[in-house]
Formats: sequence, structure tokens, C-alpha cells
Amino acid sequence: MIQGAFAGIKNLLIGLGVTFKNMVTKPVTVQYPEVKRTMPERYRGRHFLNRDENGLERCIGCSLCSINCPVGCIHVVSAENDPENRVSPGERYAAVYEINLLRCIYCGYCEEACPVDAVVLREHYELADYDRDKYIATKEDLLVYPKPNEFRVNILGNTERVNR
Amino acid sequence: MADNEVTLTIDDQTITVPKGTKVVDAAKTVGIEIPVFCYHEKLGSLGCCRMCLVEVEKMPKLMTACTMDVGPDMVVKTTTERVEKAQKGVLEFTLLNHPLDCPVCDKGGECPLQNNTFKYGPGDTRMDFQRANNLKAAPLSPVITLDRERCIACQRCTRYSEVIEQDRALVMLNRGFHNEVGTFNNEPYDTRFSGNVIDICPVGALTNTQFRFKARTWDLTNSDTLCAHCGCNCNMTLGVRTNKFMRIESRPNDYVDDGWICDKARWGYDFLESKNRIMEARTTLDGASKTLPVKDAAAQAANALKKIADEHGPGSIGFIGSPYGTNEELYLYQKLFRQQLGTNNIDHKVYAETPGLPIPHYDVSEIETSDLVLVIASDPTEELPILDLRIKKVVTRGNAKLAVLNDQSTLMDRYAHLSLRYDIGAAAQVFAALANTLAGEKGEVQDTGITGEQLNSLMDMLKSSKKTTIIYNPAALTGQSVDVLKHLLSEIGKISSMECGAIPAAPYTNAVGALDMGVLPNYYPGGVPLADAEAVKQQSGENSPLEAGLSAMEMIEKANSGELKALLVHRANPVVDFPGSKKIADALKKLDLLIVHDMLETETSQLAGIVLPSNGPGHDDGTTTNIGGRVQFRKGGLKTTNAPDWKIISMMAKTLGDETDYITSFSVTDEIAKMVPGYGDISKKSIKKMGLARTAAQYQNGTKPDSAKSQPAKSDGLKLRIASYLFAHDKILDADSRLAHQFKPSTVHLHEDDAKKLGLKNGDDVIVVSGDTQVRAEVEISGKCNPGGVVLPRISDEQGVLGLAGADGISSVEIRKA
Repeated sequence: MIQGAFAGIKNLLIGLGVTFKNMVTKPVTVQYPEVKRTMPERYRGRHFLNRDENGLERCIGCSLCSINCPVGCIHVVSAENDPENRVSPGERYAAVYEINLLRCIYCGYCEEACPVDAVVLREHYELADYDRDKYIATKEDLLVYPKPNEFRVNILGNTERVNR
Repeated sequence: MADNEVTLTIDDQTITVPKGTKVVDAAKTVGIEIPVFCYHEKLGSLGCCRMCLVEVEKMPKLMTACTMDVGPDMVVKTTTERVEKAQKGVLEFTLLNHPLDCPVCDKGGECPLQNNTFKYGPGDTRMDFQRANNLKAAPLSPVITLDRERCIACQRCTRYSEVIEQDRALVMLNRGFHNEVGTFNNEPYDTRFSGNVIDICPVGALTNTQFRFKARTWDLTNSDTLCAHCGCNCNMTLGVRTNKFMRIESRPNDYVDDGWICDKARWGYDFLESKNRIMEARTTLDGASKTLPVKDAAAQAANALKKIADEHGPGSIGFIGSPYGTNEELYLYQKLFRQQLGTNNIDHKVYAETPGLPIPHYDVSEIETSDLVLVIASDPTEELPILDLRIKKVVTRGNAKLAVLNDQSTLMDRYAHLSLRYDIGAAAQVFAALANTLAGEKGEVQDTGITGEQLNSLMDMLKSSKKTTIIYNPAALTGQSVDVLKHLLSEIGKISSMECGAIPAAPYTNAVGALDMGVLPNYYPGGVPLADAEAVKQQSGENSPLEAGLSAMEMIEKANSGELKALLVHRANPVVDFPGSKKIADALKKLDLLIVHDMLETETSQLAGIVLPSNGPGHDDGTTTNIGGRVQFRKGGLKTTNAPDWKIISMMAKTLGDETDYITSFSVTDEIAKMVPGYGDISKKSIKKMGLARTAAQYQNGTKPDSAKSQPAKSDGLKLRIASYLFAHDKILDADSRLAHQFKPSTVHLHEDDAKKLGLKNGDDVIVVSGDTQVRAEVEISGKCNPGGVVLPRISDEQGVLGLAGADGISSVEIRKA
């Protein structure tokens, strides 16, 4: 019986050890939305469409993202470029480029399939909204140049939004 | 094993194929694929791309499978190391200067070069120098764009132009590295069949300007449909994306089109999205024009017709259908008018033609096995272009002789072994003379423009032939000459040493179907004549009307005199398409009620009291019967909110007490199979792939026509022949059409003698006058017709040539200087 009591105390101390250790270590959770987490660079969040060095759209409207999409959430309608007034450097461009963010599973296959590195998934993960219609990301939504990181690490080692 | 068969082994599989088969085709029969670029089964061998190299036992070097005929006990290997190395090498060479355009290229996804590279090619390139640059978008014609960088010089397109089209418009220019596809003097490549080079191009070099960068091939919803222009009913694929028309491609069916379609089929579908479409039902009966739901409009139309039929008798209403309607629409309309409204005033045409032939009705593919093709009054090049390719094919390959009997010269004459040109209006006399000679009597050919000798040489050709196909165009035969022709056909059929058959080649989508469906004043469906009351009652019920109805032209006359009160016009435009245009409009204005059920706004729909929308080809499902009697399914591809035609007609019938429920267009097809003699085997399943030939209606009128009647009327003026032009500027090919570059100015063809008499020279502006109709035209002095006649091709609706024609199609005109 005494043996049993010792084993109990030992286990209790082990358990309390974990508790006390975690009392002084940095918490895993963050106080969202006051505090926001920095995502790794290769995190697959919201999509963006890149522009090239001349400011033209990189997307050539080839629809390879759309055909590779396992859930079929990308809709591309392409058109021929006017050589005088180019939209993209190639012969064609995407006249319509829409992603249904509700249907998207954020697998990143579109990014992998893209032959011109136009569509990318960035670290932006705050996608909540009140209106379902707003989840259809159109070209205007996608072509904004995403700021690399809007958050910084604070003293506690957590993140907070810059310019707030 | 027969003498003409060869047994060989390909990849350890032993096969027996006919002698003369190429190894590449033999392999295909057992499912072994040998990659090719330049070879195409319809174009034959060339062996310039070297993609099809295979190893043959006892041959020291690799052989091209596309140029090599099968030999007895040949052992072919297609997957050895040597072959694979050669394939990799060939592809490496082919890809040397081929741009890596695939994400942008319209061919991407259906490209033989892409597929072959993926399957047989090297995984990577060893080249690190710049690829050759060339013109990326050279317009070869307003509808074809050539990407010179992508061309791999396989010569499929140039061989197509030489072997199939036979006018060598597209050729290979320059030599060696500078070898490129082009035309003489950089003229546009705008033949009647130019679009097929897009389909056969194994890379994305020749692209469809209309489809250029509009969608990727895998995004398209393709529906297997039929062309709805001429009577060939070529098979084609309609590519649609998000309910928008994208492109048309050919879909080979050897029984119908031999794998090709004409440019009108490929680019003549802009009307699908035309501004001119009738999208809503409207009525002007209650005063001002207002739109109303289709269902209400159909009920209103049916009730109004019934009311007039009750008040003035069933003879006071009539129906003018169209040879462009599907079998279902035509069948339901004649049923509505006969069973519900009790009239036989039903017609679809202005020429004389009766259902049934005294000799077998040949399928188009029968031309291939014939050794004589006799073309009568038909101009396949302009009227039925794919038939033209088929005739050229058999004639130039030496399998058949071609005889042409026509009143105008056509492009067919170039290939003809015997070409007889009779005077315009003398058709009946010539046919009668020929029939008499065949029957052993004396055939008189004086005053017809052809000599007795010429007639005899035609006779000799007929008699020495073993199988003859006779192609005639009933729409070009005026007056009663069709009856005389049918008598001639029966005389030809009596030649015992010869098999023969005819193809009634009226240039309308469903001209044969319209005859079969009984859209005629004196025949019930399946060619059952009114005279045979027993048969009619057995087929269509006790209450079927039996008094002869009015033909389309008679209906117009009666409308003018006020005896006809109401008329329903389905997919037809009598004001422009019937002879005597101004008179037609006046007559139609006198009607109490004109209902037009049409797809596009026409001159006739402007006069209508009730207008019903028709979806037409591209939207509606239905079956059509082509000139060879083959019934095929024409699938719609685009969706629309309007009810299909068959449903609108069925709504009308239901308003008047009909209780039949049709669920799909095939429910109507099933009823046709049950009710129409000759269509018994037609069903959704049986016509699915290749279509099915229906049994031709029995020929009723075997008696010899009265020759006195067939004498051409004597008159002072020049006799007019209205010719067809494939790319006429009408409602279908409107001003916005992609084929607008093919439109021609109004031209009148005169014989040299007549021109001299009138003091006219080439290029003079003249007015062609008949009665109070005047048509402006430019003079072209050509040998297109015999002296005493003029040929005036119909080039547009505005031109108004049909105003010149008399009610029976014959007319003499006067030519004045403008």
C-alpha cells in the first residue's frame, strides 16, 4: 500500500511538473484578434495574381490552374491581347479570373500548375466576411499587391498588427 | 483467305487486312498506335515527318509505316529500342524550333504534337540556343490565322488543298529552312472548304480566328450535332462554354460528309447570337404590339386559327412550313393542321417535287462505289458543297465518270467527262428526249441547245456503266420538269445491265424529311397520296381530311383574292424566298391573321399578327433527313429559356384538344417511327452514331407526263435562271457574319451573242427587269449559259432576284442599261 502511495505521489509530481513548466513557458495560443500570428512564408492562404516587372499582369489566361483545381473553384475567360494596349506580355490574357474562396481547399495546385508564376497563395488568412458574394474573388481583388507582412512580433513573442 | 487479303504480324499480333492497306492503318485495327503527323487517312501517304518509323524484320533500316503497304508474312515491331530511339530523335528535331507556347496555344489539350511528345518524346531538351522566331499571327484569310512559328511543315494542309479541295490554293513556299505554308502572291486563302485545314493541322499553326484565345479545348462542352445549312447534314461538333457558342469542328461520318465540313458550316453560325433573333412571343392582335409568354401566345394562335376555321371552313387557313425544320417540327405541324384544324393546306416549298423515286434512293456514300455520276440541274459546289468534294474524290481517283446535264456551267464541268448544257427552260424537253431515246423511241432535241450526238454519248455512258448515281436538284427544275425527270429516272432504271439510284439534292437542310413528313397539300406522311383514302384513314385516323389542299403558291394567290384568311408560317420567309416578292407581301397583308413562328426577324415576321419564337439549330433537339435519306439526330448545345419548337406546336395542339404528351423530342421521334411509313426503324438508339437510312417512300406517279405541257413557253425576253451562291448575304449570314468577305456583288451572266445584241460589255451596270421588279447587276459575259438565257446568282436578300421569277419559276427578263 505504501508502495502504491509513493507511485501516486511520483505521478502527481510528474503531472504538476508539466503544469509548472507550462506556467512559465510561452503560451501556444494567441489572443486573436488582438494578437495575430505570423505565418510562414510558404503558408497557403488567400490567392493573389502577380504582376511582372513592367507592371503587366503575369497571367496569360491559360486555364491550367482551373483544370488542375481539384474542386473546380477557378473560372478563367481569356481574350486576345491588343498589341498596342497590352494587359499581359503573352498573346492572350485573362479577361475574367475568378476564384470561389468558399469552395477552395487551399491545396496550392493552382500555384504549382501556373506556367508563368502568376497565381500565388500568400500568408493572408483572415478571410471571414458577412456576405457570401464577397467570396468570389475577382481580378480586382486578386491583382492587389499584397504587403508581405502586416504584423510584427511584440515583446511577448506574439504578433500584432502594424499601423494600428 | 481471299486473294485480296494479306496476313502479317504487328507486335506479335497476327492480323489479316485488305491488300494495299498501309501498315499504320493495319496497326490501328488491332489497337496498336503508331504516332503520325503528316499521315491522314483521307489524304494518303507522304512520309515527310518520319514520326511513324517502325522496325520490319529483314529490312536493314527503319521504315515509315505510313508509306509502306502491308506485305504477306511481314513482321512489324513498333516498340523496340531502335524504334523508340528514332521516335525520340524525330521529336527532338520537330521540337527544335517549335515554340513552347502550349499554355497559350489554342491547340493545347488536343494537339498531336503535345500528345506524341508526352508519349514518345524526350523528357527534356538538349538545346540551349534561341529558337527561330517567325510571324506569330499571320492572317491566312479573315477566318484563319497562321502561326508560322508553330508550323512543323507536315504538309497536311497543302495536301488537303491539292487532294481534297483540288485547287492548290495553299502550297508550300520556299525550300529547306525557309519552307513555309502560303498562298500565291499572299492572296487570302478563302475557298469554300478552307476551314478543314484547322482540324487536320497536327499543331496549333492553323487556328480558327473566331475561336482564337477564347477558351481552352478542355473547357468546352462539345455536343455532337449536325450542320443546319444545306441538305448534306454534315456531322459537326458544337463547342460551347458557359452557354456561349465557341466553335465548330468537323466530326467524321463517312456515310455523310467523309470527314469534312464547308466554311459555311464552320463559320455560318453567328446567327446563334444574332441581335436579330426573335426571343419573345408578341402579338399585335389587340392593337399595339405587346410581348406575352410563349405559352399564352401559342394558345392564342391556336384559338384564333380554330375560330377562323370554324367561321370560314377549314379551307380558309393554311400552313407554310420550311425545309429547314426538323422532322419532329414538321410532323407535329402537319398533324396539328390535319387532325385538329382539318385542312390539307399544308406545304413547304415553291418547286414541284413529290415524295418517292422510281429508282432506289441512294445514300451519299453510294457515290464512292458508282462508276458513273450523273448530275442533273444541280450545282453541288454552291448548293451542297460536301457533295462536291465527294464527287471530285471519286472522279479524280479514276473510280467513276462524271456526266453533267445542266442549263448553266458550274465548277463541276471541270471534272466532267461529258458536260451537256441545255437552254434555260428546256429541261423538260431534254429529259423527255432522253427518256424517249432510252425507251427506243425517237427523242427530239431541237431548240434545246444540245445535239442528238451529245444525247447519244450520254446514252452510251449510261449504258456502259455498271452502277450509276443520279443527282438532281428539284428546286432548280421549273414547272413540271420534275415529273418528266422522274419518268426519265424510271426509264434509266429499266437498263438491266446497271444498278442505279438517285439523290434528290434540294439544297435545304431537311428537304427530304419535309416530303417524308407529309408537309404537302396532296400527300400524307410517308408519301401516302390523298387519292388512296383507305391508306390515309388507316394511317392517320378516320377524321383525316381528304380534299386536296393548296400548295404554297396557291395559298398566296388565295390570300390575295381573300379566300384564305389565316396562315401560319414556320421558319420560312415567303416575302423574300418565294417568286414574286412584292406580290407576296401584298397578299400576306390582306390576311386576317398571319402567325409567324421563326428564329430570326424576317420581312414576313414584320407583317405578322402573332410571332412565336423558334430556337432553331444549336438550341433545339430533333432529327433531320439528309439528301441521301439518312436520318440523323441534331442535338442542341446551347440552353435557352424558350420552349423548343416541338413543345410550342404541342401546346397549340393541346389547346385544341390533343392529349398526347411529349416529354422530349424523342417522344415525337418515336411517334414518327410508329406513324410514318419508312421511318419504322428510327429510334434514339438506332440513329445515335452514324444515323440510319430510312426506307424511301413509294413512288406513286409512274405515268408518262404529257409532253405537250412540257414545251417551254415562247417569249421574246431572255430566259432567267436564278443560280445559288453558297455565301449569300441573307438572314443567316448577316452583315456581321465572319464570312462577310465572301459576299459577292450582284452579277448577271450573259452569253457573248446576247451581250453583243444588247451592246453590253463586261462590267456594265444594268437593270434586270421583269414586270415591275428591277434588279441591279453587273454584266459578266461568260459561257455560263446558252444564248437566249441569263444566269443571275442570288447573292443577298436585298437583291430581290426572286421578284423576277414567275409563279412557276420560269420567267423571261429584259436587260436595260442603268
